[in-house]
Amino acid sequence: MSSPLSAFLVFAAGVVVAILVAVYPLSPSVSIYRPELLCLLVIYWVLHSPHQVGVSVAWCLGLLQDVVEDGVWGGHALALALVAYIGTMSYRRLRTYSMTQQTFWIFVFVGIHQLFVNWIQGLNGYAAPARYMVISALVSAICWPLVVLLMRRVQRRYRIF
Amino acid sequence: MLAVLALAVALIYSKTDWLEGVRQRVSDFTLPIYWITDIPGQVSRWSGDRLASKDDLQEENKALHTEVLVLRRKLQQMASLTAENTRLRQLLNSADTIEDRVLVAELIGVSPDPMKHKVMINRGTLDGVYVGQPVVDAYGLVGQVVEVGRHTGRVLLITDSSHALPVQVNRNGIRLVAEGQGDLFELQLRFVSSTMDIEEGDLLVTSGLGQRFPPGYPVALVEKVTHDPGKPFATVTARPMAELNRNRHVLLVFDRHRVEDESLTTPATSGE
Repeated sequence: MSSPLSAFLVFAAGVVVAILVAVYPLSPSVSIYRPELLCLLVIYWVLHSPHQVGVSVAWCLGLLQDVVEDGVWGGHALALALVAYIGTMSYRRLRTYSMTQQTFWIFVFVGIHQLFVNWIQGLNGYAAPARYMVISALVSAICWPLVVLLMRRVQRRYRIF
Repeated sequence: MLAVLALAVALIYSKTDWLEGVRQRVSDFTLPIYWITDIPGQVSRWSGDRLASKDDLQEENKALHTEVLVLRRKLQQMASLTAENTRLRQLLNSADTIEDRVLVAELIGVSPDPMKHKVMINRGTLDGVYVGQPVVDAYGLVGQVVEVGRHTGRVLLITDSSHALPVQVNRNGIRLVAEGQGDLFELQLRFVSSTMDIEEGDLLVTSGLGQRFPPGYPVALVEKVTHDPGKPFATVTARPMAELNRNRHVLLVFDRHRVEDESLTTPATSGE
């Protein structure tokens, strides 16, 4: 990290945007296709700087998303912490993959994320059908290359390495 | 370790009400986020208002004039009917019905989870909103307030899969329970016996039995009645009257019993 402050600012801005995307009002039929941007961002940062962004940061961000979304508290926290854990275990391997291979892995990651979020939401009686989870994971995976390209550009712009 | 903590939080949240107080306070902090996400909608409505052509406005004005005329005519009959109703009620020695006070609220957010039918409104405890307050729109019942912060409230819609309300068939007074299915255009009636007199097109109104919703508000129109000889009850689906997916403004109804109880503590901020 060349300048910790600007890195932190970029990180925070990304989180704010992801939270806004997560609560942007959409009709239920469109809302199925909402990408899990916060999950993608956490994966990106875990792969990029695993020593700064780890399981605990992911847990806090997940709790933030739960609080803002008014879901069952702890759902996104658990899911994001698990995804971050798998990420920190496997970032060396994932970094070497091509974008296509990574995208496939992101599909699996977001799938796991959705599975746990839905399991926790199910405690309150709001379990989504399985196809919603698959659609959401698919849309998020398609968004992954875009997120990576955008973040790389942002990083080059603000000289965060 | 953190996974266990998250699970613990989730269990405490969903099974107990220890976190209620924190939730109320936090909902005020999350308000700015909903404001921001509401900006695009505000801008499009504002520009729609400002950039409407003169022809459109004249057209709309004409339509509104016609509507006012039709409503006025209905109102003429309403006066005599109300008087007649009051006289009949006096004959029966039953309590007078008092008109409910209402407060207009604006939607500022919808639940991001497509399975959860909850909306956020811009009125809170400062406006006298309370948990359990019925919410209606111009066409029928919308739902009830389930959480209030100081400036915001969350409304659970009648179509949410965790919501059920007591209703009555307007035609013959049969009492039933209407359950949400997690679908904005469908309610299902529970425990309708196969011999019950219910038809497609019947209007369902609130019966007031749950002590939650005032009686007489339209809820839904019966859409389909299926008698399956293999099942003990008929399957009846109904379509909500309220425009749950597109209304922008809703009305908070101050139930008269509650108002009498709380008129000393809550500020009077409502109109008619």
